Amino acid sequence: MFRDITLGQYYPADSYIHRLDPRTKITVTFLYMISIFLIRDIWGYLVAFIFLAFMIRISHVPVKFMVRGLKGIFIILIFTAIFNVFFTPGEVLFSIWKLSITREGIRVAVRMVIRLVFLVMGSSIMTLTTTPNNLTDGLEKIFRPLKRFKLPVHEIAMMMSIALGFIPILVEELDKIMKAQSARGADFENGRLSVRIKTMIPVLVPLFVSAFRHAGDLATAMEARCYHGGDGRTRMKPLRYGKQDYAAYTVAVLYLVLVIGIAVML
Amino acid sequence: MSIIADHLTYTYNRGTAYEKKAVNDVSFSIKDGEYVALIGHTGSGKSTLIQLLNGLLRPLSGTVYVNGEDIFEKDYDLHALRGKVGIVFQYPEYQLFEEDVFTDVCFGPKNLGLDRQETELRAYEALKMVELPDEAFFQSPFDLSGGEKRRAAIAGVLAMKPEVLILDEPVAGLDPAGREWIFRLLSKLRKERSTTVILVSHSMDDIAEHAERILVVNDGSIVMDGAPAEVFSYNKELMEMGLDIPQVSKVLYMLKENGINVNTDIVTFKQAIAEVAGLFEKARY
Repeated sequence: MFRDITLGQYYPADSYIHRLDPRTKITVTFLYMISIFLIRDIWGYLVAFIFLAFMIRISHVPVKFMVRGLKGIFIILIFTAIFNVFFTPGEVLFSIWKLSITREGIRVAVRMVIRLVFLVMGSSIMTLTTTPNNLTDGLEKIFRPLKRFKLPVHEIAMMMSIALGFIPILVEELDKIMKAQSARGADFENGRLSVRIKTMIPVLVPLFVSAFRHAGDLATAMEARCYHGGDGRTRMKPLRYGKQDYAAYTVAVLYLVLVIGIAVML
Repeated sequence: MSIIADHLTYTYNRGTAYEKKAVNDVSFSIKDGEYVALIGHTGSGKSTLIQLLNGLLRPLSGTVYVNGEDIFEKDYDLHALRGKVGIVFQYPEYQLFEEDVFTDVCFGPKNLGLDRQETELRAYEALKMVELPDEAFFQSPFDLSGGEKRRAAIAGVLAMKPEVLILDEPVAGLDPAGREWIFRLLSKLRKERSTTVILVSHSMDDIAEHAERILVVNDGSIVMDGAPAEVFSYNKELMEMGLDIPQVSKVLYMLKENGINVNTDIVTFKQAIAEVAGLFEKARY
């Protein structure tokens, strides 16, 4: 039943992008997002597209998975397109009933859709090539300076990675409990909503009990291994920039300069 | 009640990067009243296989016949099947949820659509059968000890009066007394209700002692099927699959290797003791 859910989006492969430091990926993704909002014309989009296509190519993630990420925003895309096509004032091309389509409207709509698609695909590359834990590690390191302002960066990152780690465990648990109750004749598929909510009780009670049990066990295990927060804690796999990261930063900066150049020149 | 598995295949996470074939073209048939043990290393596909047997999972291809009827046929009543083929999952105590044990045990029969009297009668019977002390009947299941919780949970399945009972490692984490209790319960069920039992276990000793037939699962396929003595004679192959043979067989094979003529077809303790005692008898004269 629920075993078929894959956590996050991570696609295991061995590629140049997979091997990059998570900080690099976060920063480059961020730069890419900024660049998309700087673009004004077709040439800029072309550069952004080439950059994106290149990244997808070397990430060894099938395009199918990238496109899958777009499914989630499909409705938003449609709405954005429709609203912009009909409600942008300008030179009227043709009108149906009270609605009129303008040249500017089409232009804005196309631009918005392209932007959204690029944004989602750009960030998909990051989430598809980085494990959730690696991502939190990267975020922790990036936000470490905020510790000076008494922000508990390590604790937040730890909570995030524990929460992420628990999703598959709880999903598995949920699956087990639902099967056990199905074997006892519980019916989760049929019935009105009010009935269906009631049928969830035999699942939710054991699920909560087990979540608390797991949390208690984990706390004990952490204590037994002398966990005392982030101070003085070292990592098994410390994040370290390598040659490939500097190369990636260089490419990203060159790309950004190119995009800004095009935006300013044209 | 007979069960026939016909070329069953099942794959997890189909169409993703994590695709994994768990059951691969498995066929076997289990006769009414048989006591079958299912063995295989962790991750061999045993648990997936038993879930296919009562329709909790739908196979990718192949099907299951219960009493000659195809359970994955469109208008087959899977709901009613759950009452006929009961599964006790691993650590079943984690499925308890009601305010008291008795109400929890009533959950199964109630779902079968039985009236209140029949439901409560069955629940009472089941609780008596698992030898739970009377004073525990109306306690919260969360206040019971681990062993008592297991009893209550198994009663929850027994109350549905399944004709086939599938148990996934029912003795895991139980003390020796609890272990003995499980096998006593299974014998009683077989005698009183002539229940067909399918037992998943890692304890070769328990299996040798109780089962009539063993199915060995390896990497999603059934690789051996036979009486305990026959299956355990392939000790080298079993070891390679990460399995084992009973202590009794080990001792007898060792004796044989050292030139003592013993019957290595023996798998139960009682017979082995008689065999070895016989050797001493012979040596005396």
